[in-house]
Amino acid sequence: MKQALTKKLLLVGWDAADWKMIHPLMEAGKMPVLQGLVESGASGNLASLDPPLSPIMWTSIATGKTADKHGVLGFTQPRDDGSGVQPVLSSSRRVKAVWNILMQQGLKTHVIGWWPSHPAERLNGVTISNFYHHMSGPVNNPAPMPPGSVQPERVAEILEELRIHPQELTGSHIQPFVPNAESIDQAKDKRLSTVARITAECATVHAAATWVMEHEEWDFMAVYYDAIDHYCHGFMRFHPPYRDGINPELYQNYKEVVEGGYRLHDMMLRRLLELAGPDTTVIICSDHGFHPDHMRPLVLPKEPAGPAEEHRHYGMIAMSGPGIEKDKLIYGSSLLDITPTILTLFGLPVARDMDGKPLLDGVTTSTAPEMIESWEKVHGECGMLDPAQQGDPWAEQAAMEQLIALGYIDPPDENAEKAIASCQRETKYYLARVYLHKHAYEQALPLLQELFDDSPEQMRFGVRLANCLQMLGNIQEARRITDITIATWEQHAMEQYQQWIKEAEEKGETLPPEARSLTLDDLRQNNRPGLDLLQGTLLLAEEKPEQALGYLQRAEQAMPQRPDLYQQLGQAYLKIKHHQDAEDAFFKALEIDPDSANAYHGLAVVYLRMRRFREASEAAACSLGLLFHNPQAHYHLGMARFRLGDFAGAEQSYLNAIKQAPGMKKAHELLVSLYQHYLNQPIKAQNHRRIIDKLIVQTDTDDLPKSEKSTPQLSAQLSASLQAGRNDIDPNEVITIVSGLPRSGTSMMMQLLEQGGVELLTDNIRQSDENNPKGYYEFEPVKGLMKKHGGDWMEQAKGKAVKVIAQLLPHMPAGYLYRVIFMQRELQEVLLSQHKMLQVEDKSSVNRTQLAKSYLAQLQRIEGFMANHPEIEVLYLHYHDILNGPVDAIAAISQFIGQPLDSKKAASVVDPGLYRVRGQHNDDPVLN
Amino acid sequence: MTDTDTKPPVAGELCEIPAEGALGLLAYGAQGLLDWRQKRAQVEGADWRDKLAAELSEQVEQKSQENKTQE
Repeated sequence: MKQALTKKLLLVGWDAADWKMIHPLMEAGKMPVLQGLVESGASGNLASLDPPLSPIMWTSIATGKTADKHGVLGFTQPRDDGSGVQPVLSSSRRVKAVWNILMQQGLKTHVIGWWPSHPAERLNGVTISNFYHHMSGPVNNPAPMPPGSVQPERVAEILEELRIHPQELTGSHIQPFVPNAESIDQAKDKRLSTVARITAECATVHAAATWVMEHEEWDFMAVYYDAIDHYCHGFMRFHPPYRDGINPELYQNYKEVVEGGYRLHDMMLRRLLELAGPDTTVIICSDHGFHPDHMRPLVLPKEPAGPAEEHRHYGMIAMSGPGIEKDKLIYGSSLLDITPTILTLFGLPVARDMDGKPLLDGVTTSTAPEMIESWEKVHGECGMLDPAQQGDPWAEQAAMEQLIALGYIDPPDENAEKAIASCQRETKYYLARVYLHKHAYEQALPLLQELFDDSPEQMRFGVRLANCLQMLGNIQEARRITDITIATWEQHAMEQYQQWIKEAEEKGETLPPEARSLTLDDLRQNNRPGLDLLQGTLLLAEEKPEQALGYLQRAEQAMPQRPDLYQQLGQAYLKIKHHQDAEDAFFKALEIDPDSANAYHGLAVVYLRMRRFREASEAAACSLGLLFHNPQAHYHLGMARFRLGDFAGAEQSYLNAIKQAPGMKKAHELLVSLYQHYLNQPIKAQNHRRIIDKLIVQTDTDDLPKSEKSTPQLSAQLSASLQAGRNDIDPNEVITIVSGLPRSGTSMMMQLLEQGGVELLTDNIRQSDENNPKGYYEFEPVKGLMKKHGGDWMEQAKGKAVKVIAQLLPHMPAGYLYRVIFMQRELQEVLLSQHKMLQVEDKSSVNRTQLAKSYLAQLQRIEGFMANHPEIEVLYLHYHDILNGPVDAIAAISQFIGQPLDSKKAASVVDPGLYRVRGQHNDDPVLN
Repeated sequence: MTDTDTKPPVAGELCEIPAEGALGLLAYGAQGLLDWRQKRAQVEGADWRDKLAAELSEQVEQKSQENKTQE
């Protein structure tokens, strides 16, 4: 166990708290307490998860694990007795929360109001469930606290007393939120009651938390406030600035509610900090944000948990106190990191089965924490519930009504079976989304297929299934599903519309003539932008960027404020190599949503293509600062760093990429190259080469377009060969390429291969001379590779070795498997050798300094090109290594090409006497 | 919300507790809540909840009558 950085920690959850709201309030001096905490500690964005549903996310915060592991998958769960559905319970969680772990380590822990936490667990401190603060019934005879709301029993009486009924509140409590509350007719406008209810429940949680802090010993306390989320769902539409379509009177009445909610939380925070004291580490976090601006959707989807569309992908985190760095910005954090950070602060190991990492940027330690396999394997009393323990289902009704009132769930169907089926369907859907978010597409696929088969009229299932198939590379099936989804939606929409007409007629309503004559085209027109975006996205996946552009540009005209639309536009422009347009599109996405990690990542790819490596590095870093879990972005950052000569940085980025995506073959290959040629770590290079050999085919990790020369036939063969392992590839299908800069030893290598028993493809048109006394071993048609059909001869190279100079490698035709033996030699020697050769031929006139720069740049590009093409394998060999140790070099070549070589004969080719340029460059005035 | 609304009680300092309450008292937590209820009981009587319930019930009845009249 490492040394603890703190002895006491307070974790405060503010559901939906968003820096976009907080920062302006802090700047205006309206949240002074939080401001003080931010200035004295560390803070930053906290990336949320998908689906952005609070019970799922608060459980992920408390466990450090994704929902497929912790088991809480929505707002409701079926009752065990089959009588219907109930709010999700604490017994749904099947792994330890941070408070269970801390209790096992002897720390006194209290948990107040967490979601979900009913029935209350039996910790060694006070546990108050999320059913505690809902009150119903008249103010003088309210419904009692549901059984199981509070543990231990000895504190139940006082805590019952601390519950606040909404009707207790007076004008003094409401007017700070709604200044002209007295003028509102509450018989017609129930919103004042809503403000009262949210405020009363919030104050109830706060009263309970402060009572526990004042009267009980504690080492860890977790308190959860849901009020900001509720204020936002109810009243964010009235938050300034005024938007068209909002009732002006309602806007005037309720425009201060959301700000009021935030300010109330700041006031409550003051009391919490007073009671916690300066020796307590404080962490405040939210599970997601809430769009306060133009990003707010005007219409919510008509589906369960539709209000979650108002959530923003980034929550907030602010930490202060012992163990926390001062005045620090935290980057790349997610809500999965909270529990690992808390464990680190207490000097406890982090579990490998946790999906988050400790936020070491924000804590005062530079050493990595200890790791254990899993806290689930650590035995001992931890307070977790026996799954058999359930609460009184009738007592949970108030909580259910709360969820209905918020719009998160439909009113329960009278038919219990239908309700349970609906609950199970949604749970399955949320689990599929959890897998999609984790990039576990194979696990998501069967769930989405079941959902789609059962309910093809639900566009959300079809869209996600198509997306999943696309990510798995099954574009044809993705197209089929998309076509079915659109057709089914159209049919369903038409049926619903006709049903609406019929019902209106039965009621005797008068409909305008044009309402009766809506056609399918009219319905399509109303939903065209969404369908255009869907079509455009799929056409991009089908490698039809020009067609995709047409749909996307049309969608742009209809919905100019969709950042995801501009990201797709950027991808389309990238594929047709309109880099400037791509850059503009990604910038447009960032104008709309400055926190778009995907847009920054898109920019990084654009800049890599434009060879603006510094900007590529910065853009990739910005993307990762927002969303750390993105293996592709790490990969691209690595590429940019490599181009900038930051080899150590490139190494770290590639390692991050493979940590998040262990099957990313290209990252392993670039690490092999780095370790072999730049970081001088051959053992690490060999390790990664072994990993490459074992890898199954990876998904395409590069946003750069696939080579337009790839053929479907090769893809299947290539996939099969890569899956089977390199040694199973038929050598007669592989083309061995000997390459490098001119005068780097390529002729020597051709001779070596020939003597070793490899069949060459040469025509000996170029005869040997004093520069190459043993011959050039060239094949004349190679020189025409850059021309149209210049590679048509490549078929005859199968099973043979052919020499292709480095600059022509990118022009090799696709559709073949290549193994490239790339010769390397000191650039000075290469240039001198070329110079001498050209002097002999009376052609030497090039500025060698400029040539050196040009060669370096070319080599980098060529190396990058080969790394991006899985059909090309590369073995780098240094000219000197072959001269100094031919036997070892021949063994490496033999293993690489998968063919035994006559080592003795091959080694006889190596003639140190040919090495005529060595040392001579030391006197060369140009090269020095 | 004005600065007056957000002015919290200061621990250890005596302050006047208004019978109608204040957000600052709720923000103070359990002690603020209990102190406010105590004050309310002093001013409105120990049965202030019953009176409140009766008052609310009367308001609902009155409104219902007004709506019937308008119809």
